[in-house]
Amino acid sequence: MNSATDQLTIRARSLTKSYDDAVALDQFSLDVWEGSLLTLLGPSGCGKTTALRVIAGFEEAAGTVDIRGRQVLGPNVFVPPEKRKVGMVFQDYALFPHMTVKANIAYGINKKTTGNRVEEVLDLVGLSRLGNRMPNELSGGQQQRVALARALAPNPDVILLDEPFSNLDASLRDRVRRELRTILTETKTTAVLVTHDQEEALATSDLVAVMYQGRVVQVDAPAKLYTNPADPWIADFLGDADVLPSTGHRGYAESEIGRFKTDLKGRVIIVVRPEDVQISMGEAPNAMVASSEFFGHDQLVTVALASGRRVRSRIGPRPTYEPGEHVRVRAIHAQVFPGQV
Amino acid sequence: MTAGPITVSTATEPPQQGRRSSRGWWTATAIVLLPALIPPVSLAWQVVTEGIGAPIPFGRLVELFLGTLALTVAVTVTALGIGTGTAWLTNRTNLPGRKIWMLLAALPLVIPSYMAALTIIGATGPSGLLSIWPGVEIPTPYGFLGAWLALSVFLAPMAHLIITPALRMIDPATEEAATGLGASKTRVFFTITLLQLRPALVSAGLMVGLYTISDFGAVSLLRFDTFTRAIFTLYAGQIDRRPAAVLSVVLMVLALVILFLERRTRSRAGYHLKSTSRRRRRIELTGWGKALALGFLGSFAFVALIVPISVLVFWLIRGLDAGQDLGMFWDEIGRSLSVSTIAALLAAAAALPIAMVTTWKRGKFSNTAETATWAIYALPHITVGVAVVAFALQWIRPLYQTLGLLILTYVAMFMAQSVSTTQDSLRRASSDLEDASRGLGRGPLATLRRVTVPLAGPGLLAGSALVFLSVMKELPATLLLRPNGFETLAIRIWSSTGEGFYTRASAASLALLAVSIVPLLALTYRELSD
Repeated sequence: MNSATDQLTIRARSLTKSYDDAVALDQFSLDVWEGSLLTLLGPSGCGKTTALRVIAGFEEAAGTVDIRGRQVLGPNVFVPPEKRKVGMVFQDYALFPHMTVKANIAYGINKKTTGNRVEEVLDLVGLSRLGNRMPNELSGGQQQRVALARALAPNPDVILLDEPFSNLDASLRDRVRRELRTILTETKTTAVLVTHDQEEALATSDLVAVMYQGRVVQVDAPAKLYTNPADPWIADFLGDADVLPSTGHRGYAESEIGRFKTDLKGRVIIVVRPEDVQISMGEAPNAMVASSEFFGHDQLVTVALASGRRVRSRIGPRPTYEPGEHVRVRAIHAQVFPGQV
Repeated sequence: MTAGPITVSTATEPPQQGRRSSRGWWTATAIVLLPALIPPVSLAWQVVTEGIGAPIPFGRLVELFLGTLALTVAVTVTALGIGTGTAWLTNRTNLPGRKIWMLLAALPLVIPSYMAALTIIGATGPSGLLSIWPGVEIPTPYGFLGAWLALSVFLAPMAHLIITPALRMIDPATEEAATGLGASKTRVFFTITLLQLRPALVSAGLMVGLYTISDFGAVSLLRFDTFTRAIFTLYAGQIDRRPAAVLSVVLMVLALVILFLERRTRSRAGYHLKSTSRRRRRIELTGWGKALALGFLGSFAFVALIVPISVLVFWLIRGLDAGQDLGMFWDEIGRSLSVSTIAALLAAAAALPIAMVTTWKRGKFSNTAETATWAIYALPHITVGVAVVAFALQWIRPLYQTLGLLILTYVAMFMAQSVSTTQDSLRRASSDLEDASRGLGRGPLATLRRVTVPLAGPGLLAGSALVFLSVMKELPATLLLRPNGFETLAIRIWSSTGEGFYTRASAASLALLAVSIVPLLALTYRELSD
């Protein structure tokens, strides 16, 4: 990816914006590479929608934004949204309720080229037969596809999607997400997606940028992000994680469930994910089963260590453990951060 | 860095303010609202700085206040009683012809108060309609009685229209639960239905009260002294207009207090009523109950619709028979139509930015803009007239008594009607639509033309129809602000009635009702198709 030959589609630097009482963007910087799908992931209120709206030109901020090498926001520069070649898919889709599906899609294209392009895009999203319907005659999933088709129709440089799946039923969400990914890949479209749903971000994207209080705190590929979070907050935000206090000493941090390599010295925090925690019966038990939740394909067993701290272990359906059983617990992987629990 | 069980901040996104795309709308709102606020504010300032002029005797003030209060209380109680009755009977019972009764109960609202006064005067007295039966002669009820009757009958439809939606929103389960606990129909009505209706009843009562203290037409023709009548007398009869200004400011403050109370109840009412789609059973009326209900609705329709129309037709025919000259009033019709149309169109244009910044483009000052719009709407029109005249004489003398100033005053007074219908239209659509259009490569003007105006369209049209009807009927502001010799239908009805030319007044009244029918039908059709 980030090789020199690749082209940068969006380059945002030091975007800063605050509302009356809250900071929305604080030195927000981001690179989006041509043809990739990047997800902005963060808790609600972290400023991710504001970042998207600033890139699209619906709001102003201090800092700079370049789209395909052209500055659209900067000191004394403001290119209005209609001149940015950015396609936006809104959270509530914002389909024009007084226009047919076709008219909605044709809205952003020049009249001369309208004919073919509309059919083409309708086909792409699989709605060829619904072109003459009104938006209110479509299901939620269909409306979402029209919104995507409308944004794709003018061949924008980049597509911005604001929580595109949040208005869909849980049962539909996975399917629509896969379809979206396929369409974006097929058309080699660069896209930025905003979500607060960790699984959605990890499953859909090439890169995930985690946002916290108005700034990007880590950008990485999903697997790397999950296994090597930059700090304990990100680790916890991305999935289940337990923490243990320890001390860094001679290249290791010792804990009740194993010792882990680290160059840190002094007080440290060990962060461990349940899938990295193994349980066994038998010799030298070091913990007691406190509770267990059975999900079918896996189970989550919570154990209490001698120190009183609890850690969770995600294991397969067999064997099952009863509360009160004495077991041996060991972590095969963990991350060590400086700091104190 | 935080550690341990980490809590994720769940603060909600800050409100979408400071959007770049909303600046134009806010500027337009300021251009519309600020000038509209100037005359009333400047009148209040003038009273503070220039003193009160020849003082109005304290006894006279008390008399005016008590008169206004007594009339307001009497009219409010009566109109609420009738309005609750018509709303309940037409919405919650199995009465035959409910749809028609519903329409008939609302219809008298189109009759302006001075026309109501005309029909009372024209029906009674030695030559009135009722005297065609030998031996029957009812003296004309000038004073409190006449004003009370005229205003009650013609404000009851307002109460009916405010209470009806509230009645429909009461969860039927609460009434069913009460019945299930063994309560009788009467007990259910008083302890469940009526109590849940309380916010709507308060709101309706305050609106009726506001109209009563603002009314000029009925009290002036039926000669009952209230603030409005006193203001007009002080204004027309004296060179020093400061006393009229003082009374105007007092009345404005009174009206704003009532408006404030009404807005507060309305915002609270939402907690009591929740929308429901469940079907409710209608109450079966049988025997005496049915007869009583039909008698009640029938007599209301008789008094509020049949009598007025009969009186007007009676005087028209009698005058024509006697070979009376009706006076050419095509000019009046033309003037009324043209000022109403222009004001209606301008009010729609003025309403769009206000409706935008209070729906799609909400920001810090949205509530302020909305409050200001309603405050201007609530000011009694006679006081608006006094304020605009005072302001014009001092600052924009060339505009004094021009058609332009008259129309601008109409727009300011009535644009709230247009704002409210336009808000309804905009609320049905997503607030992101303008951004969506901009994002698809369309500039601000193309967005306005292709997205905003088409979506606001139904509301703008309905608003225009409402403003048209209001301007058509408007009396006191026209009286104070019109250019010399500029007679409208409303002025003609009022002055002819005052001078005893009932035939002329009736002819003009029928003309006014006739031209009001088209926008009225358009509005009714819209209601029915919703």
